This record gives sequence, structure tokens and C-alpha cells, in this order.
Amino acid sequence: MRTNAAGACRQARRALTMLLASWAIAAFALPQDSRAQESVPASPATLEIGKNIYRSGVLPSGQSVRAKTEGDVPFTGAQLTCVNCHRRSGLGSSEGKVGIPPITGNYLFQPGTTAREGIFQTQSIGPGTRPAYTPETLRRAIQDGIDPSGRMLGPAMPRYALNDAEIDALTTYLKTLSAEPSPGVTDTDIHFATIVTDGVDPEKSRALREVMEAYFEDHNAEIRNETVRGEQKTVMGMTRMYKAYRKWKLPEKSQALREVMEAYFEDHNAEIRNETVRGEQKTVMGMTRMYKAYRKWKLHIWSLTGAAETWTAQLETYYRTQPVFAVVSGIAAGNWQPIHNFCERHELPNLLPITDLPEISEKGGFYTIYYSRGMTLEAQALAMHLSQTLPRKPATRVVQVFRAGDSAGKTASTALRNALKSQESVHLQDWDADAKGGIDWQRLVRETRPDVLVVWLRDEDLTGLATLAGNKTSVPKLFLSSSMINERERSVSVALRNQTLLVHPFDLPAASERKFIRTRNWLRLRDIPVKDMRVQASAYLALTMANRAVKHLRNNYSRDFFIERIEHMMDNIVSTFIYPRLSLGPGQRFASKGAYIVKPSAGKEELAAVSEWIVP
Amino acid sequence: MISISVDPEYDTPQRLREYAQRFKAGANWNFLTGSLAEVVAAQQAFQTYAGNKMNHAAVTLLRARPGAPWVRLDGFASATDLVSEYRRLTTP
Repeated sequence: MRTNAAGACRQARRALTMLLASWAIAAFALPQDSRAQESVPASPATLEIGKNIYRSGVLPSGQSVRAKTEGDVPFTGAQLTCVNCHRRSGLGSSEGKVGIPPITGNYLFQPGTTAREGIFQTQSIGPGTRPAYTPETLRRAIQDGIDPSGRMLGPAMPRYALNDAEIDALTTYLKTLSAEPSPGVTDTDIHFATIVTDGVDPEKSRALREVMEAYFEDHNAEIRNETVRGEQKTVMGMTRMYKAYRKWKLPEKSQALREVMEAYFEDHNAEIRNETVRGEQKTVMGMTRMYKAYRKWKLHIWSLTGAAETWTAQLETYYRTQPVFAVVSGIAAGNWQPIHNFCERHELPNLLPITDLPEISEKGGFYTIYYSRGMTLEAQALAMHLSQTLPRKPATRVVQVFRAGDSAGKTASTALRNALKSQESVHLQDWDADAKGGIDWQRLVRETRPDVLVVWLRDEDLTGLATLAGNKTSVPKLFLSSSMINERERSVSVALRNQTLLVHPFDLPAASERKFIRTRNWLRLRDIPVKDMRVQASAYLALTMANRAVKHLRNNYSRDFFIERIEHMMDNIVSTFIYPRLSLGPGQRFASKGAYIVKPSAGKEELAAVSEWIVP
Repeated sequence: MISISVDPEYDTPQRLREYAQRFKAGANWNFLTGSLAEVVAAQQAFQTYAGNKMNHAAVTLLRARPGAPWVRLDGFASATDLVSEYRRLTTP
């Protein structure tokens, strides 16, 4: 028994190694001209059947797909759909040590070769290679797990019980999947937008724009060297080292040496200027280069004016004028929802906007990735903290103050109410300052006699808070929102400092400050003053992520793939700026997931955590 | 049988319940999550910690009783492998 198991293990490992190898090669060896040739028109009904099988594991009969994996482990439907591993883009992924190859038509119907031309002969047999799939061999792969070279696919790949018509529909779908580049990309440019709305503190909008513009200018100067080529001027604080990257000229040499030299020179020049291979699809030096992705970045600032109800129409106009590949960062007054919905409708990625009011719906979305759940997260973390720290009996009177007209306070108060719904130890009461005709702290305390006062208000509403200073017995505990307060020192009134705690969905100041060094230095080199740490760091991080993800697209300008790369890369971020950690995974849309309860101390900018990092 | 989340900040008890339902987990299959530090400690104790959660690998550990040595199955185990290993451990 033991040896059999060990044998099976060895077999499995061999199969896995092969799977990994074939993934790696396939990823590098995509011949792009395949895009042009595979344009068979498919009926929408067939495509829909294929898409349902791929994404939901649902057959035309309405039944779930059935499959077996690891040789004998049965699965059905949503447990193990194609999209789970090969992802929405179909361009593959990896899970731990398991490589998941791309399975779009562009890849499947081309041979998987080792593509070492220029150095060695192209390997078309042996590990890591396979002939192009045909409809027949693809059927065999899906049903029986055998690739066109006759090898077994890895044991993690399910063997699906699909009939021929279902496989045909799936194949039709795979041929269309990520077959064309997404809108917003040309042979030379990638278009990005950022969004700034009316009602945002002008200082914050400016801070965002400065970071965006400087990043784009810098990025383009570095990759093409076009803007400063031959000039002696100092750009953004430094005389650039890329002055040194001049094109190399090849001397006369013997034939064998010449081949190596030529390849190296071509490669070198291609890398620094992206001139020789721009727009071409050939594979250089054994790999399809990542520098294919180095197109010039074009920034579009989409300024939205007027009421939020009119934003959608404005966004549509911007988008019609110039489609972009992704929206990076952005800042809005009020709910992000109109922008979120716009992006979903156009299948347009929106990477890490600066908002406390993300769209949090049951069915969620695919295209917007947020830093956190914002005000909802604050309220949920607070609810968790209260239920852990308050006595079970007698019930604690918690009063929350907010303005129904301020989305941040309204969202937080609703979330707190929902989160405390089943808490019998808490008696929660709302105080809507808009309905009460303003803030009157004395009256509020007199009428509600709170044990705990939760204040979802902004700086300007907190000025009268100090009048409660004499009321220590009636307001033993006060919670404020870190996100809603801009000027902590002034707002946490000195008189109430000992009673006040903050819900703080960010890292503690000392740690944030340390992690901000990278942004600070970047800003300094570009003569941008530090204005708003949160805005500047958030924008810079969003840009850094976008840049990395674009490089990893290789030649696949698929927005879906872009999102999937971000999901995959987020955990590798070294400097998470104002957050303790940022983490995503397939389908996750909120990178930072917790909050501290903190106590402001007398020293400037000091905050001490009185709770663990709470993850509701 | 116990499954331990490697992504505790996402895998809340509610999410694990949904996951268990999706895979029709029986009463003797429990799902554990905790703080990030606790989950890291558990992974380190079993020498399965890969640093970044995206690098995690599947591993199954079995033992017959407290104090008995662990048997480690790396990668996804087939049902046959699991059952045969289980039989071997539980047959006196």
C-alpha cells in the first residue's frame, strides 16, 4: 500500500512538473499573429452555452457540470469550474506550486514550443512542448486529460464529463476569450484615466493630480527616452542616468561571434528604446519579452462636475472620446457607486480609488479594486470591539450621531446598526443632526444619556465637543472616525482626550510614517511637496501596482488579466504605506481588511492601539 | 478532519461556513480560522508556511492519535491515497 501511494505521488509530481513546464513555455511562446487568423463567427447562443460552462459550470440542460480530479475525487458545478483556475481572462495563473496554463484559443491552437530561436533550435518535442490542439485533441484533453502529444495533464486538472456539443460550445467560447486587446491600447500607447470630482478638497485633488502627472511623465521618459533624448536638461530633480543608454553600434566580427553579438545588440536596443520590436510579434532571444508591454502611457484626467447624478453621462462622454485601458486611483466626494457601476458596465478596471464609500453590494463587482470597505469597515470593526468589551448586562446605551445628508456618516451608522442587530447587550440609538436641526451636544446628552457616544461627524461639527468636558459621568466613552477627521489634533478636544477613542482603519502613525519614506523620497525627487500623505501614498501605490501589472500582461492586453494580475501581486507589496498589510486573492476586492481602535495621546500625531487589528 | 485557512483575514467564520456547504462538509469536517499570527504559527508548526499566502501549497497531515507521529501527504491527495493511508494508520 505504502509503495503504491508513493508511486502515485511520484507520478503526480512528474505530471505536475510537466504541467508547470508547459505553462511556462506556453506563456512565453504565444505567436501573436494567431489573433488575426481565428475569427470564425460564432452564434451568440453557442457562445453563451460555452460561457456558462466556463464561468458557472452549468450545462445547457441547467444541470451542473460533473468532473473528477486527482484521479478519483468527484466534483460538480461551481466547486470546480474552468474560471476558478484559468480565470476570467483564460490566461491562466498559478496556485502555490501549481502552474495553470492559458487556455484561450490564441494559445491552444498554436504549438507549445520552447521557442529558443536565435540561440538553440526551436524545440518542438520533449518536455514543455506540445503540438497545436485540434478540436479533436482538445476534446480528449477536457474529457480524458491527455494533451496532443499524448501526455497526461496534471492531476489537478479535472476530467470533465461533457458531451461533444458542449465541448464544441466551450471551444467556441475559448476562441473568443481574450482574443483581442481590450480598448484603450494601441501599438504605441496605453491610455489610463483618473477621476476627480467636484466637492473634493481642492488640496487633495491637486495632490492626486501632481502624483499622477509626475508618474506618467517619468514613466514615459524612462521607457522611451524620447522626451529628453540628446538634451542636457535636468528632469524632475535629477540629471537622469538614462542619458547613458545610447544605441550600441556593432563592430565587424567573425560569423559565430557576430550572431551572438547581433542578438545581444538587438536585444539591448530593443530594451532601452523599444524601437526595433515595437509592434512586432516575434520572439527575441528565446522569450517573448516583457518589454512588449512598454507602451507610452497617456493620462486622461476625467473631471466630474455638478451633481453625482450627472457623473455617469460625463463619464460616458469621456469614454466615448477616448477609451482607456484602466482607471487608476481617483477621488470623489460621496459614494463611489456611480463610478463603480460605470466601470462594471464597460468592463473597465478601476484600481485603488481613494474613497471611504466604496460600492459594497451582495453580488459585488469584478472591475473595481478598493483599498478597504471604508466607513462600513469602521462601523463593523467598532461593532466587534463593542461586543467584545462591553459587559453583557446591563445593556449599554450606545448613541450614534451623524448627518443623514453626509454619505460617510449615513453609511457608517447603517453599517453599525446592522452589525449590532443581534447584540442584546447594546441598546443603539440614532441621533441624526440634520433632522435635529444641528449639533447641540448638551441637548443630545441630556435627551439620550449615552454610555457610549459614537460620532460619525467631520471636523467642523466637532468644535462644540469640548462643552461636554464637565459631563464625564454621562459620556464615559466617545468614539470618533479616523477617516472622517482631517485635523485630529484640533478635533480631539484636549478636554475629552481621556474619554476619546478613534476607529482607525489604517496603520499606526509611526509605522505609516516609516512606510511613507518611499513615497516621500519619490515626491522629493520630483519637487512635489508632501501635502496629504493618504492621497499621495494611495495614488503612488495605485500607479506602482498598475505599472507592475502591465508588465506582467506580456502581450495580453486584457483588462480581465490586468485585474487578475493585481489580485495575484498585491501580497508582494513591500511598502503598504498607510495600511498594515494589503492582500487580495481571486475575487477579493478590498485589500485592507481591518481596523484598530486607538487612543490619541498628548503628543503630536501619537496614537496608541487599545485593540488588536480587528478584522470583522 | 480539520481544514485551516491560510487567508484568515478573508476567510471569516461566515465565509468558511459557505465554503463547507459548497463542498457538503459533514459534521466531522471542521474549518478553522484565526488571527493572521495564529495561522502563521500553525503553518510554521507543521512546516507548511510559504511566506506569501499566494505561494501556499496543499498538504494533508494525518495521525492516528495524540502523540502518534504525523504522516504528511504533500500536494493534492487522491481519495485512494487518503483512504489507504488512513487504513494503514488505524489498523493495529
